[in-house]
Amino acid sequence: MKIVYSELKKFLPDLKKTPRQVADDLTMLGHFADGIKKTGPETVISLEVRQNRGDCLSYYGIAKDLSVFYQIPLSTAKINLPKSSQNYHLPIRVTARKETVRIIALRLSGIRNTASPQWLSKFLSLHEINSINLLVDLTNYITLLYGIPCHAFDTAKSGGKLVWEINRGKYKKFLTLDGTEFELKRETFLISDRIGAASLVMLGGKRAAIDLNTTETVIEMAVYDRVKVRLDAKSLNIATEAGIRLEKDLDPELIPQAHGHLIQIVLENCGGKISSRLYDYYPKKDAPKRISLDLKKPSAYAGIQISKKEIVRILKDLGCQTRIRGAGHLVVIPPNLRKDISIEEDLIEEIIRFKGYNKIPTDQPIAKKSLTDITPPILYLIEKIKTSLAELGYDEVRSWPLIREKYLYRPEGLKAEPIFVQNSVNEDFPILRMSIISSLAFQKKQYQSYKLPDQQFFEIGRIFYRERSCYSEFYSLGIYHHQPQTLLNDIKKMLVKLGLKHQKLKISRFKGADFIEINLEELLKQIKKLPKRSLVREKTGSHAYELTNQIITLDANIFLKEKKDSEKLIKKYSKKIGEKHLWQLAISDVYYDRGKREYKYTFRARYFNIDDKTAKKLHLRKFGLTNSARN
Amino acid sequence: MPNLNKVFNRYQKKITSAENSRQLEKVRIEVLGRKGKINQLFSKIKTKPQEEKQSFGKELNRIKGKFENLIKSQSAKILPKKRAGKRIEKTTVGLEKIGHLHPITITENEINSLFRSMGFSIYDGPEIETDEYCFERLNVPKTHPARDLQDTIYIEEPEILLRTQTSSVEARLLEKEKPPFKAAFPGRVYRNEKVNKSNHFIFHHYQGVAVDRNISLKDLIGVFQKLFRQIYGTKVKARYRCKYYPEVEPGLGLDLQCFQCHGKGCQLCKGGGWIEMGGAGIIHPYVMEASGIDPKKWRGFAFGLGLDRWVMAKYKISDIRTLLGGNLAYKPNR
Repeated sequence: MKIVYSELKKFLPDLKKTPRQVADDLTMLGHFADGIKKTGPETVISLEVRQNRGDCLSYYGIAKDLSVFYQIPLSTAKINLPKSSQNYHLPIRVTARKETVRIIALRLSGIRNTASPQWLSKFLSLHEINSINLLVDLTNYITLLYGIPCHAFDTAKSGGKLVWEINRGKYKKFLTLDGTEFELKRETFLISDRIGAASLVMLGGKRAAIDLNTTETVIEMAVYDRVKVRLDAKSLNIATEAGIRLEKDLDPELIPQAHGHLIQIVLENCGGKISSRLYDYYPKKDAPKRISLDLKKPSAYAGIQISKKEIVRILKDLGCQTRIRGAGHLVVIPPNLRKDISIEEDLIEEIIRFKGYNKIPTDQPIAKKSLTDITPPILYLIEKIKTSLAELGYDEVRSWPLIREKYLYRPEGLKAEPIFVQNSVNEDFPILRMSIISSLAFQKKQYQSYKLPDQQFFEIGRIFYRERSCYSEFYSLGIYHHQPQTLLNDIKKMLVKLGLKHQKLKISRFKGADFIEINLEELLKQIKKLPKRSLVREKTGSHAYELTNQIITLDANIFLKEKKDSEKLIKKYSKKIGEKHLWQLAISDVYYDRGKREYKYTFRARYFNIDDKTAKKLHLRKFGLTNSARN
Repeated sequence: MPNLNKVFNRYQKKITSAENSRQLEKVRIEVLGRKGKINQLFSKIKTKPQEEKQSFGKELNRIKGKFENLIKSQSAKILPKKRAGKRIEKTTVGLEKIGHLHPITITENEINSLFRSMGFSIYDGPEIETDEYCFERLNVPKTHPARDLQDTIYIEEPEILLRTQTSSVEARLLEKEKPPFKAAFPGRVYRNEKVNKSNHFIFHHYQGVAVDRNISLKDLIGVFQKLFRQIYGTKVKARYRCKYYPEVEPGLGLDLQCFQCHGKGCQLCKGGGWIEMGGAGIIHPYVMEASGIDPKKWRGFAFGLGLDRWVMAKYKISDIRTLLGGNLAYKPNR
């Protein structure tokens, strides 16, 4: 929702705050301001309106919240329509009674439709709405002001005999204003002119579209069953400004003001006169909600004192009716506009919202109270294994549990079926893995493509399968080492740390590599005593890197007259090369040449996130070598 | 089409007759270098007829592999020139491998550690969930957009799905445990989102719940202030504002001042100066009742944080795919 500051001021003439302050305060009130933009003389605040606040998809709703917060009056347009002696009743029928909350309609004749004046087309463009013509633009303007969609039909095209009905297969197709054709569903809620579909409830049609030749129009404004609008929008795959609003709980009591305002500005801008009686279909008014409020609760929920006086003041400013009921209780009737307020907690939120969330202290966290530890033992086991494997030099990886079909690995002896998802984001990855080995094999392939040396890594994650129509998932550990024997020895060491000395381990071969997989839930059953304290104490240094290029390995021979400490030499050259592109530096060989009486140190340097040409240049420079030097 | 076997035979002789590493390197560049024979042949693929392209490429890759192996074995055969001297250090220095935990794990552990210090247990729940635990018990209405196929990955629509939020663990916890309790639960969640540099279909959430007699927003805000200060230092600026979530009432939005611009407004924070870290609030009475907890006797708070962007900022990772991709790697010994 976009709010043009100058338009907002028309509803709040006493508003003295700057657009930035208004944006910050709206954010604190729950309407997240995700941007402020200055366009010429106008400032536009972009808001993410709360999902349950349909009323705030309008200037009126936002201004109402601000008037309570700033305690300044809300000003609405005075409606003063010319009295009409017309006795013409609009031939409107409503057969979709269950789906319709309220419709108001009126016919205007003798209007002169033109292009919109600059102020109007500019205002709409700030809301990313294209200007069409004056009459249509005015309906859009009022929709933005009050949040209730409205529609104008050209009676020369539609005949004015409009029916609000469920399609039930009567009409097959619908042509939108921009010429797009939709296949209508049997259950689509539409407005017909008894010959064809003139409009959908959330989208205008070409059949009775307003154009520059329109001289007579029926202008309607309505609120419908929001669930029906949502289902229609979903089934037809339509997202419109009108639909977004009609899917929310809107206030039918606001329609006379909004519709009256629209008629007034159409008469002012397009001329013409009212040529029918007002049609008002409103069969069932909502009974007012009465909510009991315990006056102690707002303070208890917030954790700060909120006085009775403050509570009553906020509720009254919001338009609630309040009445004392017994000691310490209020009966509250919320205003019709606020469809989101239906239980005591909603009132509490309103009170805290206008009291200010920023009044709640930030330095008093929940008391440290000793409660029973309900941590599942498997989580302690996972923590312990991860630490042990990291100590043994293994890196932890995390990968996608959805895999390609060709990477499906079934653990030996498992008779269960793999689980396919119905709507995978990427259709190449439709299966949930049955083994961590699937993920590790894919990971290995990826590391291979980056030429990552000496790979040894593990993953602990869920594996999934289906057995006799039951879905199962287990924690599983998968480990890879480029040397299978080392892998076996390391896992044995890890199991010994868990008190398991005689475990049978099996190496599984998949995609040309050797892995070990252990079902952790099975393993847990065999462990007698598991340490319960958190063992992880790794410092949060930046060890992880995002590889963008292959690792480049280059050797260098350095000749020295004296023997030096290898560690110190590594430190010296590491510092010289710098951290940015150095992956690893090692001395692989030290050789003493008796003839020349010198020591030859062979360095192996690995570079990352750099192309091979630049790596070579860096390597030669930092080791003081040239292409023709002895390297 | 050049006879690839002929090419192989020609260079095979050159490779096997190399007597020292310099000669071998010269042939290697001739064959496998950037402007070498193999790359020249690769560049010819595009000129081949469509039906030949695949087989030619395959064959070329096979020959390339053969060359690589041959060079490797020849390299091993070439003995270093004998000199009068001795090898004085056989063991390699600097290649000792240190293992690492994944940045997500490290972050989870850090947060776990803080919550444990405040008396929280760590909890867990399934990733394959039912509509009941993922939506129904959390007061998410049937018509909520989150339930659409465009947002949720289904196994059997509309009942069985991959959890879209770790709130499903909250629903199971409330049902299973008797109050009072405090628990935090890191976990993986799934959304039907296209994968690109800034979006993924897998996210990492960190959720938590505390249920007791007199829980308030003050308790909740205090917890987060402590958490943010521990992770980001005492100068961190946090903002707690009203926000709507169906499972809580009153609801709370948790923001941190932008890590990049420190509140001035930049691309990362879309000019607003703040970054949304998560949501929280007092558990909705409907959610409590749905799990058999009497909301008149007990009150609780619940919170949820998204970890991915947090971890990306901390580890300077620019592409969200890296977190679960093959290109996240660790420097082996520093």
